[in-house]
Parts: sequence; C-alpha cells; structure tokens
Amino acid sequence: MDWIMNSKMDDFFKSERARVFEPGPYFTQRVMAGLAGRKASLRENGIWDGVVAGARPIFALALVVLLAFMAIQVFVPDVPDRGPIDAFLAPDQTDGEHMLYSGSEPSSPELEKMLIITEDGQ
Amino acid sequence: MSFERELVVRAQAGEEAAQEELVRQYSPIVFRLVSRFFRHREDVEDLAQDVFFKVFTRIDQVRPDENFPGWLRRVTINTCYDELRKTRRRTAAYEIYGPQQEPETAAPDAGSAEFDEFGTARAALETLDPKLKIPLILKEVEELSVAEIAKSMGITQTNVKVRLFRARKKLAAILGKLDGSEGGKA
Repeated sequence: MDWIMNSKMDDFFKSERARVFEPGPYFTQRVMAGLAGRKASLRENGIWDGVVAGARPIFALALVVLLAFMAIQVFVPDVPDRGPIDAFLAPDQTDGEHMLYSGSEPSSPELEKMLIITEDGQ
Repeated sequence: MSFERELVVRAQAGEEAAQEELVRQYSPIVFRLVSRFFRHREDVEDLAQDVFFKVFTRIDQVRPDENFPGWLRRVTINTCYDELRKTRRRTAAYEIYGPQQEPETAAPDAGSAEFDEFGTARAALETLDPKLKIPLILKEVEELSVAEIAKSMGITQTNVKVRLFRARKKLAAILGKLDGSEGGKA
C-alpha cells in the first residue's frame, strides 16, 4: 500500500506509539472503591441492578411468561386425557359408571357397597 | 503455581487483596492499550476502570491454563470497541439531529493550534469504522502480529487481514479527500 510508505502516516503512527497515559497514583483505590460500591449496591438492590439495562425487558418478559405458565398449571383444573368417543359418551355416564370406567376408587366404603348393590340389582 | 496464576485464583475466590494486586500490576497494560483508542485522560481512566469491573465480574471465566494478560487484553479491546461504537453512534445521531453548525466551525481550521501536523491523519483515523480502526491500530501502533490481533479480537487471521486491507484502503481514500479539500481551501 502506497499510503503506508507515506512518511507522514508513518510519523503519525510513531507519534501515536509515544502517546501513552500512565495510571494515576490513586487509580487502584478508585477501582477498589468502585468495586466495593457495586457489591454494596448489588446487596441492597438485589440482582435486578446486576442485569444489564438493555436486557431488563427480556428478563421481565421471561418472568411474566414463567409466572403465567405456573398459574395455568395451578389454577386450571386437570382434565382427564379422553379421546373423542369418551368425551361424547361422558355426559351419559352415571357417577357409578364413571368411577367404574375411569378406574378411580370410591371415596368411602359406603359408596362402594352402594355401587355393588346397584350392580347386583341390575 | 506461578505468582500470576496464584493471584488470579485468589481473586476468583473473592480475595480483595489479590484483586487490588491485579489492578496494581496490570493497570499500566490496560492504560497503554486504552490510550491507543482514546485521546483524553479522563476517558482513558474511566474505560480502564470499566475494564477492571468487567474483569472481576467475569474472572471465573479464566481457565487454569489460560494466559491472564492475553485474556485481559481481549476484555480491554472489547470494552474499547463497545465504547467506540457507542461514540460513533452518538456522533452520527448528533450530526443528524443536533443543532446545525456552519461548515467552517464544524472541523478545526488547518491553521489553528489544535490542528497540528498530524491533524489530517488523526481526522482520517477518527472517521474509520471501529471494526477497521482497531485492527489497524493494533498492527501499526501496538505492533501486534496478525495472529495476536486475531486472538485478541476473537476473529480469524483471514478476517484480520481483510480488515487491515480495507482499513488501509479506506484511510488512503479519506486522506486523499482531506488533503484535496485542504489544498482547495488554501
């Protein structure tokens, strides 16, 4: 490249090599004080301040979505896994039949006896 | 275990004395590198401080076999790159949305004291994209090899060579334009 041959540019880079700042006498203390301040702020304000400002909306959104899924899991009743035929027949089933086909146990021995009697009666 | 490695391990454990020793020992290296990209002492000090904040936030990432000065150089260059990008964006936004300036006052006058003998070269370098400016400065001023630049910037050696070529070409074009406009003024 002809520009690099340019003595002016070469001299400029040489002058740049000589231009160096040295740390001041209190630089180390300044950094340590800054670090201590950041640690204290993190302790006081929790992890929210530790998150980069630009990433906060993403964190907030992720948190809302997570809470929404948890709420769905907790509050929406668990529907048994039924096929379309089961679902179609379900309203015609009596409580006794439902218990019989779903495989759940009767809630009390009396109910169990009653069911057996009903079945025998039929 | 070397003294440097021992210091890093102690700093990773959160020992403040070790962190302080690392700052004391490595701040001249950080200052030298930051000085390559920024001209004001205050900027250099602020950035060097940011570098050490980042270093102690991420010090757990230093692997036992890793060369700490090399890792520190990478963190420093990344911090400078981020700052140069921000500055460039701010300048661009100011140029578009800021108050309009007269063309005569926008650039320092060639005859004024602040426009010294390297004014044109400096002005040309300032207009370069940080992606091109950083490898060029590391090569020409810091005198690093292409392999060292690639390692420091986390890019391939081919990529470094391409960026150096483009930087030189662009700088030559800018210099030609600036020299032409100066010649036209005179």
